[in-house]
Amino acid sequence: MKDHLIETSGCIKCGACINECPVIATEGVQRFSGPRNLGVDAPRFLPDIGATVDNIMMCTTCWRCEEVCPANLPVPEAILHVRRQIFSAPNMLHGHRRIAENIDKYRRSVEPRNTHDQVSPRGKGEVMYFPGCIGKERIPSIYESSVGVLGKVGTDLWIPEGWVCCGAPLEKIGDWDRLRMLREENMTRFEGRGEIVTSCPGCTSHLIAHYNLEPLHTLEFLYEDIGMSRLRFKPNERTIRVALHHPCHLARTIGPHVIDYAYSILNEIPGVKLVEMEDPGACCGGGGGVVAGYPDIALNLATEKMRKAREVGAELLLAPCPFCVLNLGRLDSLEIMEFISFVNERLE
Amino acid sequence: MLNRLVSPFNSIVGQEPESIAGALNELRGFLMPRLEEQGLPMSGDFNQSHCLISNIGSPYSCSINPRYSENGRLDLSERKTIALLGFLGLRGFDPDLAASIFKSAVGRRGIRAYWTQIPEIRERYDVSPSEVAARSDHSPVEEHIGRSIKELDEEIIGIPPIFGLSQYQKKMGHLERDTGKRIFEVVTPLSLPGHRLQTALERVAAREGCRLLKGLTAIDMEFSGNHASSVTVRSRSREQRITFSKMILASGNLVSGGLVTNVDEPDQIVPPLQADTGRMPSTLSISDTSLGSQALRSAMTTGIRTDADFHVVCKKGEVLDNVFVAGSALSGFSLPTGVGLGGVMFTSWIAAENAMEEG
Repeated sequence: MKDHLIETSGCIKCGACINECPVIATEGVQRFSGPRNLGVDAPRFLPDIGATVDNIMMCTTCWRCEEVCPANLPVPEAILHVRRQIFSAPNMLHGHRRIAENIDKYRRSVEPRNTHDQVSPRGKGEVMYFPGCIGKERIPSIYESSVGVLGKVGTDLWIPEGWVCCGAPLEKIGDWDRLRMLREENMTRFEGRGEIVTSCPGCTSHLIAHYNLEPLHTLEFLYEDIGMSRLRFKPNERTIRVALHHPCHLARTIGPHVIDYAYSILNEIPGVKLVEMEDPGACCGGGGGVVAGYPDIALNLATEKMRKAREVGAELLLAPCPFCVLNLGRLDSLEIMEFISFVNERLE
Repeated sequence: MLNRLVSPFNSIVGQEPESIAGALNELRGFLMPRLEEQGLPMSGDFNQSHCLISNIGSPYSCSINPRYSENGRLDLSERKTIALLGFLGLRGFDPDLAASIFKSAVGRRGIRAYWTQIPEIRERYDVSPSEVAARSDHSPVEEHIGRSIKELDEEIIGIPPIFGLSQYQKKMGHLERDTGKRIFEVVTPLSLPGHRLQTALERVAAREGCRLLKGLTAIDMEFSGNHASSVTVRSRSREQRITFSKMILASGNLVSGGLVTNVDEPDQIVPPLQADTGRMPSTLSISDTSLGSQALRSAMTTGIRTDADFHVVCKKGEVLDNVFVAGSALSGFSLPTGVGLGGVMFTSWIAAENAMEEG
């Protein structure tokens, strides 16, 4: 907290973070007081900070505020620190309590539904694949497609038996005790890991920041390690108008280079007509624990994202992030698909 | 207006105003048709002496857009009646304040301020322009704005920027047609015009064959003698090395191109480059009294040091012949000091021309 207090003291009160905050844009400052208030001003009044719990949990941790901050202040990290400081199990939001209960019960952030492993590479190959809770339990096609794509390009893959949630959702709700417990459990299962690949930008970022590992998102692995020349796509069936959503945790916490990789791959797929929606990097509402804590806010942001995609005539919206697919998939106004699942469909 | 922009460039570039005006016309000729193609109306009957591709964030000085902006279409000598219409709850635009600025800045009387309330957002007292933009796709909001404008007696109506790039031209056209009045935007800082322009410029760049590498931070540069060979960039959690034959370091942040500064000196400058602090375009002098704190002065006036052709200058004094700087990474090109996107675009144009000319 102290470090962040010092770092955020460089705020010049320009208001850029407030202007760009997606939650303020859809909900107004009456409901959500915004990044400057919560990340910069609130920590200065620590004794009363608990009063902000309802407010601060509305932040989707989209990292837009840091991106636009002229002073480059670590506002999202400051907000996460505040969440950690004010965390109290009895006062958890209902949806966040459910996450904690799932962790205690299943070691996953969501209740397992995909009880049968349709694809279960075992043993210890060169590359360890970390599936992540949403891709494995909520949208198993992501897990299956990722394993499918990695297999098609000849990756010697293994999945750590008994892996547990990486802890990213717990960081977002401020529950560091459970986070540490999961990290310790995973680290014993990751022994002999080799290179690590994940499907989820949240898992990737979390493994970098909290495990001191260097995992690659599937897109990075395909582009950097496999190479475009080894991706052979099926001939064109019919042309489809595709828009690409730029997930916050992919573009703004792993890095914008991954979005370039995504476009490079899409440009190689026959029959894909790319359409550029307005502000493709706008948050869909899927992150920061907001889907669980404030599903109405997450839905409002998703609605806005879908509107922008429809506006440019997209028939399919691709998102290289399971959380985004989960949240956007709550609306049926446009077909939404996880990026690697689409690649798997089109790969020979 | 031209002089206002020419002067600060002249003080930095060291060129004659005539040659800068020529370059400015070239830039305008290149950009305007391409921006029009992307949805920014650029072919209005604008008065050339007033129209620059610039937005200094002021409600009265100039605008990025000659058609739906007060300097592009609004000739203050016409003596037509003008109204400014604010939307209750919309952050960033207060028509009462804007009207008083108009009056004091251009000596124009009779500009009246009005407020209207958009029913769909009645429950809230503070909304952002992007929210209004989102909701103005729904016809009731647009209809309400149109009805409010019709009720006004004035002939020319100024409204805050509320439409994004994809809807902008269509919706402004609808409003003008439906109300029979001339409508212009009162440009406010940190709002949609900047977003629209940025989006349009990025699309133009992509169509012209540029590969945009956005969001990267240059953290180191490898060079030998007066020639650089590669730059190491941070893409958030990763580092990459990019080799190049020529490079233009261009950044566009509100303050000092995103160079973080501490109280005394610039911080996070790309090694081995040199930085300047306290250097300002001559017409925009920053005095001790106009910027109250040392930290603010430092932030506003920091930039990467260049020679007159925008070549970067290293700490030991070497001038790199294949690395250029443009935009608000130049000293003194911070938006709050009154030099905005026009300066960013213009210096980029000159730096690119220099880079091409030097083989």
